[in-house]
Amino acid sequence: MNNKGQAALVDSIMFLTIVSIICTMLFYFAINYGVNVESQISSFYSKDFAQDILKVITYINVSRSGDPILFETLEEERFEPDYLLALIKEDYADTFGDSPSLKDSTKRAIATTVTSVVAPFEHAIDYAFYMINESSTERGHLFLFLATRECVDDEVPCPEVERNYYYCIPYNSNILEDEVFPNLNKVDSSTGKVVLFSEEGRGSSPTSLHFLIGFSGWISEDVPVLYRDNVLGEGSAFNCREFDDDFYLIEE
Amino acid sequence: MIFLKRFGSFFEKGFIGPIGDDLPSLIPIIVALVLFFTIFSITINSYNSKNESINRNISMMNVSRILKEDSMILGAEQFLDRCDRLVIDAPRNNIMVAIYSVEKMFNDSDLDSLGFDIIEEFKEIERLEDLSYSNVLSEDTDSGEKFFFCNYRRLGGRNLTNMRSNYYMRFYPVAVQRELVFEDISYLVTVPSIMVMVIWE
Repeated sequence: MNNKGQAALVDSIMFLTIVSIICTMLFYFAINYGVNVESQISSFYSKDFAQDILKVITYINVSRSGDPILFETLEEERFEPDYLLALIKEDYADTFGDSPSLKDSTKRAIATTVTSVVAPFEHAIDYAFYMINESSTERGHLFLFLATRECVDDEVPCPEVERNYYYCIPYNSNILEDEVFPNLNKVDSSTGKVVLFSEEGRGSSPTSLHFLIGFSGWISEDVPVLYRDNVLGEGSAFNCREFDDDFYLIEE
Repeated sequence: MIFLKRFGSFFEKGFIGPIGDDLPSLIPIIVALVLFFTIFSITINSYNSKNESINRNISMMNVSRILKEDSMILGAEQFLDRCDRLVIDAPRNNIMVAIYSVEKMFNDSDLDSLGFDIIEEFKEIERLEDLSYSNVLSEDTDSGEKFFFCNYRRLGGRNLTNMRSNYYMRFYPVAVQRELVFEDISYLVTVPSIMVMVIWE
């Protein structure tokens, strides 16, 4: 090959090198284009979903007995529709002192309301629904309703998973952020503010207290801190009682 | 002599010819061109498909915002009004939306298997009803299974039955106010429901 041929070969190799660099840049652009926008849209959809769930929980009616309003199975003597927040506000106003509590029928109403709203997505997500007294620094939870999944066996892979529902009054206001959320990949939360009234004693003026009402949902994962043995009982940080299949609290 | 001089190069060692000498340099050039156009077409296709996906997601977000607003639907009339607004917004995709009762539809099924049933039901509606451009058919059923239905077709849009691309489905929780007659007394109760949206090109 003469000198001109060698020069042409070197030129063509340089051309190939430059085109390879350009192609690498194009490929990098093709991989990364739109990734941020798509993840933001996906994040928006899941945040929107949590907000919708919280709104629907507060909008829908529930029977004052705690039974869900099912059109086919209404019981004649117990049908009195109301709103969940109305039941909670009434119970809160009726209790005095430092340990407000809700009636068992209201606790059942919380469980039936939340599970009926989340029912279409029940097979995919675990969730928490709660109310926290904003002005209380320690034991601020009015209640925490938890829906979790747990493997019934120690085998790997898990042969069967059971669904558990708990009514909890944790000792720590930030127990979800401290104990549960760090173990999860992604949590979608939505919160709102509610005012409840309470009296120090009979005949005294009512005090208004600001509560945070919230819903947090996540794709079902194995979270040991939420196993039944770790959440049940007053000795655990969660201080939970379990619901049975009809959403009545199981006696301790 | 001139003849010999002119064609003297033919007698030089290693000489193939004017084009033959350049052949080795042509190979990297051809490889470079093939590589460039392949990567370029991959990039263009990826860019177009991602743009389509983003536009579709934005379209679904906008439509869901119009139809569910604050996740509360007070009745058929309100849903009809919201459905009519889709014509003004003119989304780029074809859309079908139905609202189902949670109680009736989700007692034993999960969303995956129910999704197929919903698609079949929408195709059946297409078969039975005359759905055309910007037809916002709405119906209120008392069966408890499906409350309201809204359809939007863009100009020249294909039916779900003979669409060319994939369809996409999303579920949104909503609260719907319904009339319940119990012991001859009429109650307005708000029940949890699910809004199903199907969108396609």
